[in-house]
Amino acid sequence: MTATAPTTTPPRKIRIATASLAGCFGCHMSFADIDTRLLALSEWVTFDRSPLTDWKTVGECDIALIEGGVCNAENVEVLRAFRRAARILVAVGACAINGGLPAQRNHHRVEALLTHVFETDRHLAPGSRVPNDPELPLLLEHVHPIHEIVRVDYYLPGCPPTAEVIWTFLMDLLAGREPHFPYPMLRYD
Amino acid sequence: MATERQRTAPGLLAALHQARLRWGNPLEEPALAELSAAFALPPGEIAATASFYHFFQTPPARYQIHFIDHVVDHHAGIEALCNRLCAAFAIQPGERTADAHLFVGWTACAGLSDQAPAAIVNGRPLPALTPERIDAIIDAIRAQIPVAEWPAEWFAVANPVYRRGPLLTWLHATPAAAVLEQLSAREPEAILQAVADAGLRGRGGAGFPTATKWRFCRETADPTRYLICNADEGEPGTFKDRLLLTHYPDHLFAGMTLAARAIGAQTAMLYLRYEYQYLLPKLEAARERILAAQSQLPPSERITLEIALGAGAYVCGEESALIESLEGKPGRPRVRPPFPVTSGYLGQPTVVNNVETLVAVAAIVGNGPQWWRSMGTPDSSGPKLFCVSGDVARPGLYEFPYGVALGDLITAARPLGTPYAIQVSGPSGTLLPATPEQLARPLAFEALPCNGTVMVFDERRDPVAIVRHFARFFAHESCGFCTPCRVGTQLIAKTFAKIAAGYATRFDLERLAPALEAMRLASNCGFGLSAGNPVRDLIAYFRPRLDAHLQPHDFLPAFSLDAELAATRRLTGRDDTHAHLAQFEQPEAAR
Repeated sequence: MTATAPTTTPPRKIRIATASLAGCFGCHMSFADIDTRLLALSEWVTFDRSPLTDWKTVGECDIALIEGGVCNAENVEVLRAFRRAARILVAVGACAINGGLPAQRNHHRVEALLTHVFETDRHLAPGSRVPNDPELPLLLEHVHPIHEIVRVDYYLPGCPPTAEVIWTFLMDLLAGREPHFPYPMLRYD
Repeated sequence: MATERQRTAPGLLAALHQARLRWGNPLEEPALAELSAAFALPPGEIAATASFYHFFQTPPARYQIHFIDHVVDHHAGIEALCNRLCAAFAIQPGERTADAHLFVGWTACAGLSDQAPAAIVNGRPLPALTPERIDAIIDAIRAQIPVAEWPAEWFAVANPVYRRGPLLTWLHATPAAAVLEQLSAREPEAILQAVADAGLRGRGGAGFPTATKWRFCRETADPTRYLICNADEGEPGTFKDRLLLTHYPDHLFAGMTLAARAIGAQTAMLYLRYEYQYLLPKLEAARERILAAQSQLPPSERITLEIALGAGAYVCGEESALIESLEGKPGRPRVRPPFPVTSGYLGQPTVVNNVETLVAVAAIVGNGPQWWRSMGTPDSSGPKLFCVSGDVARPGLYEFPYGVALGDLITAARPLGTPYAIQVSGPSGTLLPATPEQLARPLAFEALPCNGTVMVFDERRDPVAIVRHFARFFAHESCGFCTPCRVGTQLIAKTFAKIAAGYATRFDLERLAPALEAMRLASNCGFGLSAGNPVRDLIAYFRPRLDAHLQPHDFLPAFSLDAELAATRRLTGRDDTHAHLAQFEQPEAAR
């Protein structure tokens, strides 16, 4: 709890959007692990589109926190929308940084995986097929880190990053400081 | 470390070539089992060594054709010729026909830059290809005519010389017999002093004073020493040694013998690149003649002469990698020091000299150091062979004294159009714009260093595409030992692939910069140090041409997003708008 809150009230509240692409929501949970400091944060910031709010489309904002890699077409579109909307876009967690554990599917052909799970698994009902409704986004051939699709301004490592890293990072940005992560806060696991 | 050095298998390279003739593929059983027993190495280690070399990885086939993947050949239309042949047999480059009769692939510059476009079939050169020649080759393969019975003119490699100076004149005028006479009664110290007085510097590109290298070796306490002639000549665009090997092998072996005597070596070895194996009969005959000429000497003064054949690895031109290769190991540069002059082949003091350097030794001993010093500049003495190729009417060899202006050399080769860019000393050297001030620069170690290779490109050529070819070459030829080079050469090649695809932005160059810095500073050998040179020069001299390839966007993916959906589109049978992705984001509307 080394970081300190802004000493002066910003002229307007900082606007933060968050998103999970091919994520597990664990980075959002680690964000929530800042605990009662969330109450303090809510005094200083406003949340735009986020799994924690009801906004359906992302609006212009200062910071976008993105967890998860990019595994399907919708991920690409959402990520691009967040990039257009946000001044600072942050790759949060191992998946957004390098594809994470989901990128282990890159060792396999995507058709083989879908067929294996939806058609040939012995626990499926007879006649089960790979879902093909246009409502569903198509999977990409490989899982990609977000920096392969859009420019990234900062990376928060960890699977997930510790609450201390997330808190320190936000406090630094709110205070207008360049983010700095002391060694004991750093982890990739 | 000592134990690692002791793990040598001299002769393995030759045995792998023989295994290839006998078994087809030295990477497979039973070749591995036999070699394992013969060299007392585990089969996996033999396979690992063989897998390092490009030409040991070619799938066995009755006809193995490698087209030359070199910028000059591409400008001469090699890709269309390769496709013409592949289409006739319904295969892609890098594939073998179903009946395993024909394999078609690519390979790096084979020392035929002046006779582009070219290919290699079963180790033999096919220079100056045309669509008609390709059709004739297709017929020959269909008719199953053995390569040995193909018309001899298909394999005829010319060695055009457009300018002779004192060196080539002396080589031409002095019969082998006269060179042989010089071999007798030459005191080692006298040879060394003549070369020192001549101020001879290495013709392989680095320019280290030859006599100084010899003296380092000679002053070692170890009496068993080796002289190696580096005929790997792998630098794309270089073919000067090819002329010397073809027409003056006696002079070369004489130079090797003189150098070996000067350093007190008992054995002198010629390491010949795979692509020049067609010269082996000629070289073998010259070797026999020089050996015979030594017979009048007391046995203790005779030098053993050997010839070893490489197997396709540019990095084996690096002296310690060449030695590793001769020792039957992957050709990876050693961690130096100790340098080869202290601990080289089999751990013994070894001098590695380029072909042209050793021919110069014969000439200096024959004519005296003053004759040599009367040519060139004070720092870069003597005549130099230059091999000019690219967009010129007379691609071939030119002898000029060191210090000749770049522009004078190019003018002599008669440019086809107005020269626009010049690659000096191969991809490892410098890419320069053909401006008056650059063309005025003298070719010499103290000014514009040059191993003799000059490639001329006129306005039709795009410097970005030229650098892309070189980037691919470096990525392919990196030995993969040290981190900055193994990874960095790939990063450069990928950046240029992205530029070619039309997806690159300014940010891609920004992100590449730290990798270039690491390669320049932290590589383990000169290869990694040089591999960033083409992109360095592109940025320094051709920035507007590079910028013209960059998209105005902040960032774009390197791969086609829509292509990434092709697999799941196929699987689901969808083709609706949501089953596609745009590569370029729509221009931003007012938010």
